[in-house]
Amino acid sequence: MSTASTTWHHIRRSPFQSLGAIIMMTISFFVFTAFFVITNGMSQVLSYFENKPEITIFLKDGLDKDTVENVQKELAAYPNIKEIKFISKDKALAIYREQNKDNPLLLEMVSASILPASFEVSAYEPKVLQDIANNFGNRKDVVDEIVYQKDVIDSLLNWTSTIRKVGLVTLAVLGSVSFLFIFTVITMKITGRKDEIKISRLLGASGWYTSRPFLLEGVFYGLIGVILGSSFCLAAFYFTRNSINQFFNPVTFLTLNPIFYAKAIGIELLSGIFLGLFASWVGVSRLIKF
Amino acid sequence: MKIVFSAVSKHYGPIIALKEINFEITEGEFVFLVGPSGAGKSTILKLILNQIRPSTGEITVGEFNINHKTRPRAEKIRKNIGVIFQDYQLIPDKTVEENISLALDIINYPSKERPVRIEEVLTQVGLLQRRHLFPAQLSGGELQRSALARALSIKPKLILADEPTGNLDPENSWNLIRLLKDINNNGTTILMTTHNYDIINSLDKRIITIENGGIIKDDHPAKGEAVPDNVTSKVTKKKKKKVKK
Repeated sequence: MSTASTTWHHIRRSPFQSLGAIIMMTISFFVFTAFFVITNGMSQVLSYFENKPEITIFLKDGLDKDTVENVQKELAAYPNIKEIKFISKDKALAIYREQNKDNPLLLEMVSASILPASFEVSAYEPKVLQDIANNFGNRKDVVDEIVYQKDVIDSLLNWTSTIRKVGLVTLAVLGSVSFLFIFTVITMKITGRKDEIKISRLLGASGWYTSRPFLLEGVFYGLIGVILGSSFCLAAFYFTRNSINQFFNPVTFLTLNPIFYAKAIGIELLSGIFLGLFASWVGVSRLIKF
Repeated sequence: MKIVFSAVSKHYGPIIALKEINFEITEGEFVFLVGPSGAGKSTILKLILNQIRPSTGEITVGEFNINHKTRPRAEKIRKNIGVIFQDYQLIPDKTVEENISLALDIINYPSKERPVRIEEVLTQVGLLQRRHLFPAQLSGGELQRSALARALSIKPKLILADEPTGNLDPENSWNLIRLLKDINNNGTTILMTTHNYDIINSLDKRIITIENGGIIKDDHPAKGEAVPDNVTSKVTKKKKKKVKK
């Protein structure tokens, strides 16, 4: 009987223990995949904001051309300014149309008159942007609203950091529970097959020979957990991708790059194999002498 | 396979299981190891199987030397030894065929040749028709023959039989002894522990008697009696007479 068929025999002989181990690993790798995809999505959002102008000054409606030119001159007078871009009402509408071209309902509801004109300013020195934000924040006569990207980025960084921390803690807890579960299942199976192991050893089986089916069983749980967990998670993202990407528009939160998913699954497969193998190895080394 | 015990002692804490015993079993011998329970018979078998290490002295099993300091990896020795136990030691959730296949797998017997080898040994012990049955579906005699088939399958140089007739009726006991005798005739060394003096006295074989951890007698019986051809011992005949009366 080959190692693989002995392993399969062990799994079939205690199906509920095996099912428990598979469910536990599936949950762990479902979360692992979700963490991977969400972290990547958050990076996309961050990168989008980091590459955008760092401060946007929305102007009040009805300003004359001279007033707008004066504001532009005032902005240009600040040192270390990288770029000042004026977005007129018409241009704002064009951008809005481009961003929402797939949603005719949103396009119908908006015209150039309700979109404000704005200045998008980027600088080499972040402190300059802070000064601009402070000075123009009090200019209620010309400025309607200031969106300072630093606040957005800081907020996003906080979110990303929190998601990362919560994700890592959740993964650590689930990883530990999975480890303990597989360890316990393998230990119980070895104990249940104590006599068989004893007989095999008397027939000349080495420690490695008797351990192999149990180690392979751990690897099996890891692999099945990764396959099921990542499949369920990716399927869930696949069916909700339009809504999620629409919510984060214009950022593509759920990437469609197959290389990203191939890498993610590759890393998960290695993690699954390692987790299963390590847990079963700890169980085996406690009960089988080499 | 040759076995040599040179001044071998084994202590379990304060309990002395074996006291400086010496004996040599040459290749192809059939030796009975007899003595009361707790005399040290099982300790000798465990030492040969490399399950335990001698406290003092040296044991040679074929090409391997075992002493209190060094011993080879147990599996190296065991792969050359066929073992038969009183309680059969068959794996309950494997069929007769699978139990034998396991022994062949352990010694890396070529997988393509395994079915042929399994058929050979099952034919030899008369269990070919029972190959797909599980141990729970077999009688005591069939179980012991399955254990013998497993031991034989690896073409062992030595067979250790630990009270193999202990759980068998006289008829099955004689069947087993006849099989062991045939195997021995083909050159396999056999060391068998038993309490069955009916069998011992019926074979003209060497007997090592052990008591309180020491060898008290090592000789051949004065006059041997061949295993009866009709597979019944004197005990069985007496029982049959009683039944007739």
